Amino acid sequence: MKRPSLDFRHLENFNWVILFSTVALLLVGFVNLFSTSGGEFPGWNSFTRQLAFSGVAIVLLVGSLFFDYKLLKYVYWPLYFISIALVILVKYYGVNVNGATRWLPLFSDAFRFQPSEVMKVVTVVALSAYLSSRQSKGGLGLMDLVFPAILVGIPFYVILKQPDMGTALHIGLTVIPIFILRKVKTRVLVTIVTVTLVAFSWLFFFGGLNFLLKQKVIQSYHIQRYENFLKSDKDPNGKGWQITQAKNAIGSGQVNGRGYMAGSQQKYGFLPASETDFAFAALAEEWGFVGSVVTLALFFILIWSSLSVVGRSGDSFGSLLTVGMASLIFFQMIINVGMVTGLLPVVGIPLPFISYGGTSSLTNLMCIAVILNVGMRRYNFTEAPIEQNPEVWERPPTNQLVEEPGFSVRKLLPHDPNEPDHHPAHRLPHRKPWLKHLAPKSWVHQQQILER
Amino acid sequence: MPETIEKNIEGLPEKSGWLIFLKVAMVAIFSIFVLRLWFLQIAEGASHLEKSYSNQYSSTLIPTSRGIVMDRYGRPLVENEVAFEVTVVPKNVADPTAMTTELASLTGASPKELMEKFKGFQKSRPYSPSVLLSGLSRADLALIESRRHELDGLSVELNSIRKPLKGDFAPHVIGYIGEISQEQLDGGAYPGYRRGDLVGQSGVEQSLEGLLHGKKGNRQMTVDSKGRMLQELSVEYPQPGYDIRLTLDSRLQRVAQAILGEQAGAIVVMDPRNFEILALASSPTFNLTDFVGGISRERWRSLNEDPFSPMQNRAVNGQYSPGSTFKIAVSLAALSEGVITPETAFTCAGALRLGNHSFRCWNRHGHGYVKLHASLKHSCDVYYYEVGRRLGVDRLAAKVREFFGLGRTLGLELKSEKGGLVPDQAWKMRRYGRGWNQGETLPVSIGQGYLLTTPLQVAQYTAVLANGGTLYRPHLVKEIVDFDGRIVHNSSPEVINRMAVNPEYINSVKKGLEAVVNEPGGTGRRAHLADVRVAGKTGTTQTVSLEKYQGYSASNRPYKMKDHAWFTSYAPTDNPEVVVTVLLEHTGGGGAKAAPLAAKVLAAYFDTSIDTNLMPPYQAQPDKPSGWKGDL
Repeated sequence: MKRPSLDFRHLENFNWVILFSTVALLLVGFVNLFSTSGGEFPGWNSFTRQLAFSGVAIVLLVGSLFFDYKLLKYVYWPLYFISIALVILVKYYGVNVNGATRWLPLFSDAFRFQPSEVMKVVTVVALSAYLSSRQSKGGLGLMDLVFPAILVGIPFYVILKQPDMGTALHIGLTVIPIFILRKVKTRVLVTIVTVTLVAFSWLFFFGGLNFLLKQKVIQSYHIQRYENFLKSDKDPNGKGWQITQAKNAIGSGQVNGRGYMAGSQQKYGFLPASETDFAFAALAEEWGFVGSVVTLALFFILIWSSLSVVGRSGDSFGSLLTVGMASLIFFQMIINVGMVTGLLPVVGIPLPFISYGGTSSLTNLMCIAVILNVGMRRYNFTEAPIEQNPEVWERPPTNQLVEEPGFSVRKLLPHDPNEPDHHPAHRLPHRKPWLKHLAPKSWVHQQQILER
Repeated sequence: MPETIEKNIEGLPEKSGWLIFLKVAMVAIFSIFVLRLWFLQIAEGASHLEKSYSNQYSSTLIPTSRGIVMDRYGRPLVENEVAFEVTVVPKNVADPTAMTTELASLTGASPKELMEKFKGFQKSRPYSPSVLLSGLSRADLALIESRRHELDGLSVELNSIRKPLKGDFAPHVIGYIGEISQEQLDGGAYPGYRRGDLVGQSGVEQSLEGLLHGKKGNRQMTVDSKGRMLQELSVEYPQPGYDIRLTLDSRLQRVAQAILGEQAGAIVVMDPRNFEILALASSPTFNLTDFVGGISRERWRSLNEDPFSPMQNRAVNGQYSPGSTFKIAVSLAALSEGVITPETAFTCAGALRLGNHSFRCWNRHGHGYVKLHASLKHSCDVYYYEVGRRLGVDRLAAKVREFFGLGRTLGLELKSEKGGLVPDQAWKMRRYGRGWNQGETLPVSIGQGYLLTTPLQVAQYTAVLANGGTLYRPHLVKEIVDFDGRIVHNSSPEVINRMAVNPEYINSVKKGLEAVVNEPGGTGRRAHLADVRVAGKTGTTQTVSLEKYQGYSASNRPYKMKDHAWFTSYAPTDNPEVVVTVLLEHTGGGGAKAAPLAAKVLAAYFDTSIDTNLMPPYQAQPDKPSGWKGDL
């Protein structure tokens, strides 16, 4: 196993956009949490806790960049089973908060750890590792999907039984893009879509829900939430109160918002769970359409750049991992914002980076860490390019190179792996990667040539 | 090629259609969300902001106290009692059975009834509070508060209950209180009222609602989600309603009601000098206490389906032919027009022939040579047929409208007041599309035919005669007093008309009425009092045409075929202080049936020691009024 180290050549491919949009989202989250937690800075409240958790998470993120993401291939099975065990442990040792048992107490309940959050990430890792290890011509067949289905099914089931319908659904949605990207045969796809449609129609139109209710697969409050979602306008004072108030909060923000620390819905307690699940509503109330669209735009940039990483990753494990992590964050955001704006039924899922939650921010930043890791480890640089490929380096520089100094790594295609100026894998491990951003490209290039 | 370079790059999905598909799907979902935000925050933003404000700012109404209604001596007739009521929001009750049994065991109510009520609310208004139990005492309240944790969904509210001090005292005049109806809210006559407010629904409670009700206070504040007050923004203190002093003399009212007893009819006692109503009795009657805290459905149905309509205020709302009492008005109209003088004489031969129809006098033997005095004394119909024929219906109608305010309401403080009907040629054309026959004038001139008056209007023309020709606005309100006891309004007599008739002529009519009671041969001899000289006029109104009761003797006629009995009188004759008008439905002759009752009321007016303790008890909403013989 390689010694953990950071080759500075990796930073050439480091996706700063992802990092900056993540940091921007974290800052948005801090600003919002400062308001929702009451605006007291000194003191051990949710704001300072979140600061601490995020600090730890960022340190872990930076630390994890020193390790190759391919190491995950060797540890995903232990991780997978440990996570399942932890999720099952919650059933017996979990702490009940607001009627949901999702947390394991740590240090005699000083901290609470939510294993289902970790389970989601681990499931994605396991699935991508497994799928990337399979060889198949023309896409996966039906039998190839059996084992991945079990791989996803077990976490889905244990979390559903916790019971945490929201997280279970989140896992179910998250793995879909992974399967889509790891090509599935067309006829298999058609079969799956048909079966899904039939199952949905059975659930909602032919009494399937009642059957599941009788078998205790789902609880009656799930159906009630679903009905509340459908009827929230008809019963504004009853159980649909939460979603009605969230809509009022968002709507009252109008274009520019009610002003920071001035959202009356949130301040006077009309907005339930404004620190956690309904944080977006609090944000939308205080910052208005402008603030909420900026937040959505940050998410968009984050996911879009992550999908770009998917297309340029070093191996199929990396691309499946990246698409899985991106879809984890994307669906979490979709479910949360959809729930808060009344587009989807209420399920308890926090908004990544914005909502308060230790485990959640930890796992979300780990997702980002994985995406960054995959992105920057696009190439496996040779340790000693000159010694390993002496014939390449003995070749004199061409005139073409001098005439067109500087090159974009992104647009470069590995059509000639033996051309040192065309394939960055052969480049020297220089120590000043930032120089190219500071100086004219021709100058940097000359420096690079001089370094040889 | 070195092995350190991984070779699976070509398998990457950068150019894969599925990655593009994922990106497109992502863009689509994001645009849905932005659209949703646009819809919530910009399209619907203003309404959401308003809802948010209404969350944050709460205004609670501070209840006010309704004014008291008093009689003319300041004795209260109604009171406001503090009471507690339990309201329930059905959706918030987890276990209705447990809740109702618990509440029933605490308050002693019937659990079955509570459950029924609760189920009704559950169906009709599951999300808003409804009153489950009302009229609770402080002890009940303490018990409920002690078990509060087991009674979720319930809340206790303070309320004031309007209670009549005596439920059977002048129920038609005082009126009852009820929840405001949707029509009343929509009608616009009750600005600032909300659903569930109690308003007067009849009597002076209804007509003087604006004075009695006062103004609710309002506390504007900011609240948190639990409804707790964070900051008080402004307070508008409540203004209590005005107290009303009526002109009613409660003793006379009691006496009048007792005298009427079970007989269907009305008694109006009025001061002719200023038209203050001293008593306004209507029978059969009902009990105001039935309405306290909401009337039961059975009682309401029984009151409404009663064939004798006990809720009707016959004194101002019942319209009857005035019968011979109208001869007072006709004679004054004819004298003012110069059609007759007191000395004009006609011969009564028992009937007057007009065309091929014979109009009969009540005395088929005739009264012979009759002047004004005798015509009143004997109530000669033929004399008035002749007067009417000479006067013509239009002149008659114009004069009685002008002098006595007939055919319209004069603005008594009761919404149920009716104007009656004074027919003329134009009316007939409008109503029936046919011209007036002269033969129709004759019944009108003896108070029959199309003519309709209320007992109050009969009292009005009696009072106009008694006070020498002045028509005032009849009124029930003597004073309006504010909460601190200051008099806000003191009703002075309001002159509507002074009749321009020779005082000598008026005196001769008065003399005629005196003769009715005091001279031998007068029709109203039974109204005679020993100490006070009374003047009056009888009236007997046919309710069906003569042919219909040909086969019956006077005593065994069916109830509905019997005559209405009228007697209208004033006393003392030299300086009239009081007018008493009695109407009895379907009883018989006015002189025989109505005059004795008028005499009793007059006696009670002059002898203040007479009270109901000397009278037999009377029954509210009698099952069978006197004279009842089977079906109507």
